[in-house]
Amino acid sequence: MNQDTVLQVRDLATYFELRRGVVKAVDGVSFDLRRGEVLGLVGESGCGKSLTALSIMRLLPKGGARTVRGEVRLGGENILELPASRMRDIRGRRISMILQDPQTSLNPVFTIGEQLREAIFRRAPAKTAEIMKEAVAALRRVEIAAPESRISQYPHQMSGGMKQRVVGAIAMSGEPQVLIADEPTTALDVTIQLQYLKLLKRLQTETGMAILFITHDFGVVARMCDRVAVMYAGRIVECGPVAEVFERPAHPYTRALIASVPKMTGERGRLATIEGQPPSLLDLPPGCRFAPRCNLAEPQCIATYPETADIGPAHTVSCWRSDTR
Amino acid sequence: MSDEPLLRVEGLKKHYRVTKGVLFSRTLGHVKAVDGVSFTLRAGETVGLVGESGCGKTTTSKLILNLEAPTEGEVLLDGKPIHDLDGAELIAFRAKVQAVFQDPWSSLNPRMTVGRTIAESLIVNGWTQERIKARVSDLLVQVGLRAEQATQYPHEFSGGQRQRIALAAALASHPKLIVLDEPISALDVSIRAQMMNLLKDIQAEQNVAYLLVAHDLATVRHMADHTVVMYLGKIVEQGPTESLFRDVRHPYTKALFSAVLEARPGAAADEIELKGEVPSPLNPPGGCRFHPRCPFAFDRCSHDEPDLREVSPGHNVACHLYDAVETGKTSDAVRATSPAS
Amino acid sequence: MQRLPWIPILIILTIFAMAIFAPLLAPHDPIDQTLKDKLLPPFWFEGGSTKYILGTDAFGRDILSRLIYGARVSLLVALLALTVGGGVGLTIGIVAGYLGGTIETILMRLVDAAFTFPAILFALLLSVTLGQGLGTLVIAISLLLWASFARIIRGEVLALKQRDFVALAKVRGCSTLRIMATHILPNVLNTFLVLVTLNIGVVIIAEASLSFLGAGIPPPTPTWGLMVSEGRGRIADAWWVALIPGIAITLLVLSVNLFGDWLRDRLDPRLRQL
Repeated sequence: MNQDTVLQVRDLATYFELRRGVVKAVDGVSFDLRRGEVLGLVGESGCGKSLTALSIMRLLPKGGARTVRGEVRLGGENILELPASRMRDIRGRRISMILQDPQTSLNPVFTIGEQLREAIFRRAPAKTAEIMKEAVAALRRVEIAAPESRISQYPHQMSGGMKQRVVGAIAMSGEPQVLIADEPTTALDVTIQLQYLKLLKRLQTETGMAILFITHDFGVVARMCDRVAVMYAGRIVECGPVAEVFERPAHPYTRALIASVPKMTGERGRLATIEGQPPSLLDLPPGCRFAPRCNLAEPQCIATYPETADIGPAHTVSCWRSDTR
Repeated sequence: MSDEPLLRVEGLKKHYRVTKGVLFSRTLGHVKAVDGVSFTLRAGETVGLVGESGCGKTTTSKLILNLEAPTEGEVLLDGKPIHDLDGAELIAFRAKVQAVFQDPWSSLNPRMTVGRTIAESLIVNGWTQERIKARVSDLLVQVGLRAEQATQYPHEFSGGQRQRIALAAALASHPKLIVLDEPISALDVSIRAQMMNLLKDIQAEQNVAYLLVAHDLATVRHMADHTVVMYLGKIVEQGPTESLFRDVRHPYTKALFSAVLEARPGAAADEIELKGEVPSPLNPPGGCRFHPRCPFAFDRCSHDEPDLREVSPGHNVACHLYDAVETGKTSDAVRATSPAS
Repeated sequence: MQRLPWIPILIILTIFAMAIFAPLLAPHDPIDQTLKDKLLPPFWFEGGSTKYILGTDAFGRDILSRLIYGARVSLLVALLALTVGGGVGLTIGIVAGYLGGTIETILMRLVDAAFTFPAILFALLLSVTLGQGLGTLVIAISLLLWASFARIIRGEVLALKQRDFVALAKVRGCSTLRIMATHILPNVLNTFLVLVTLNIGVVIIAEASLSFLGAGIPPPTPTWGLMVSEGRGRIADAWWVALIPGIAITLLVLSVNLFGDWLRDRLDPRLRQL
């Protein structure tokens, strides 16, 4: 394991066992997250990106979902095997998470200060006055104006952008090595999104934490991430440095996805589309999962799943036809 | 054909009274959700209405759909005011103006077959059973579904398919205008392009006009002939999409453009990052409503409300920086920071 | 998807069959008093007799026969009261919730008033003015029911009204009445159904209370509630007189609730696919 790697995920698989069959929502995901980097995990809804995050945090929804194999190494230790009590200590301290909807991330009946205090107290028990001072500092770090007065407010007295900053402050109060951000700006307005992304980037540079940034938006990836992993139907199909993936996307899915986003410059004509729909996770094809929608597909693509191949510096792809670009 | 546009919105205002108390209620103030909006829309054309949440774009669309009555101002369809229609005239208006909303999971009645949903406006308009059946089949095929899917219920469809069904229902009565309120933002990236292409194809075939309410500038650029930018209930800038995107004038529009994250690494150059958030529409700031957040604000902006003035053919801006557009230096200085230039 | 709840369905069907075929099934006349055989326990206890399988009450009437005939009255009252009271509540809930404004304020104040209203007292008053009987009982219990139906249905309608398909129906030119009938009503039917099943117990207990107070079906016609009331005072020495109809009520209410749960899952297309 590389010295710099803080989080190593290997062959992670999380299935839903339903009466009708097994939904392979996450089906063999592997990646490394290095100290101080932002790794983007992009894909469409149902590709398994959020479930990957929840599997890492061991916060799978009750009833059905189960991690069936794989390893998640945090500083060399497989956290999937830890007892639940140790996992609770790790969550919020060494690995933390921000979710999409700030509305549901905060408890409406407690003040901002009380919610922050709880998080700070868990990390380092101290006197109330000192913790309050720290809470104010935490709010100031996430650029909340007049934190002394904000601390006694309730979530409903704040705007969405402000609430998401508080969620960030709570998530980062334990000074985690790894932050998982699951679509943190999707519910925000565009100008507020930009503020938030800049803030997150700044905090990340200051603390050197690693961020796993989950999003469906390639614009956000381009702005935020150092590397990007593209997920399709439960697997990572391509992974590489952001500039490299955007300039030379190797997987036909990545290419089509980038092409289908309307641009701010250039032609305004018809958009490239990906016809059809992702396969049912209940009944996955044996070969490449994108093959039925891929215009480069050959018999081999349908028959066997392509192995992950290196095609450049730190750039990997799972495609039989990645030579044709 | 006359010069009269299909839709004319004139000085439209919608104020909501905010009260406190139940029995002896006290008026705390008015939320000026829409505060003096005027624009026109020609047959077969698309107008994009952009802005952030709380700018009044959705309220404007509700007023145009005649789902709410304005506090002041008028909406005219084919030169006729729409807000005092009733009876047969209202039904005729409803057939001409249809809508597709954002959330495909909320747009369809879960207890109604999709065929019945699509047929609804035809039933109201008294079509015969056979004609309705044939029309529903045609519509399903037109939006890329199969005719026999008419008997299925919404839960059997994906989000993208539901949005196609919603579009089919909107098209049923051969409308002249469809209000598209964020029609693609709830869809997956790969499905969005399909939907946008479908909307454009249908417009080309049927000469239907769209009022596209959206927050995503790239989508508007792709779809709209004319773009209207709103901030806190007012239009701050409007113009033909081509010229507006080429030459962004209003500082708020510029900030919106800076906030667009392009799927292109390193695209972020000189960004205007806005401080703070959109103020409450209850007691909005005096003068120009954008001045507390505007990086270029000067004295006049805090007390004088700027009017829309033409800066190039058809391109209007409500900003004091362009008060003396021919001679002023300020405008050149601002233009230099424009990301589009 | 839950499987068909066979046992509850069987119990419900049995009770319905009892009600319908009462004259054929009952071994004795339900109001025929045989005082020498009074307070006999069920046959499997000491002193019991196979002549009276479930024993007899204080007047020597056969409990089994009274149970079978009682099902008739109890089910009929439940059916009528839920139709009238539930129907009124459903209509008022939909109208108030969808129309809003002054109409809603007036209707909901009426609902509030109905909750503070001494329904039992009113029922007694009714029985004095109109006389005892099925009609009086149904009106009294309906008055007890409609308000809770109206309040819950209105809450449901308020949430439903915010859904886009309601606004879109308006855009398509649907009249207010059409929207209420085709978009609102079908979407609150599940809630209504659940309310109906939950209220069967309420109705049977209300019927019992009113019969006990003398405002229900006049004795000696047997009803389950009346049977419990009559046996109440002898629970120490002749427990079966009250307990047997009590068990019947519990079985019926429980079965109807289980069946209602299943029906709700079955009728909700969103739950059906799982």
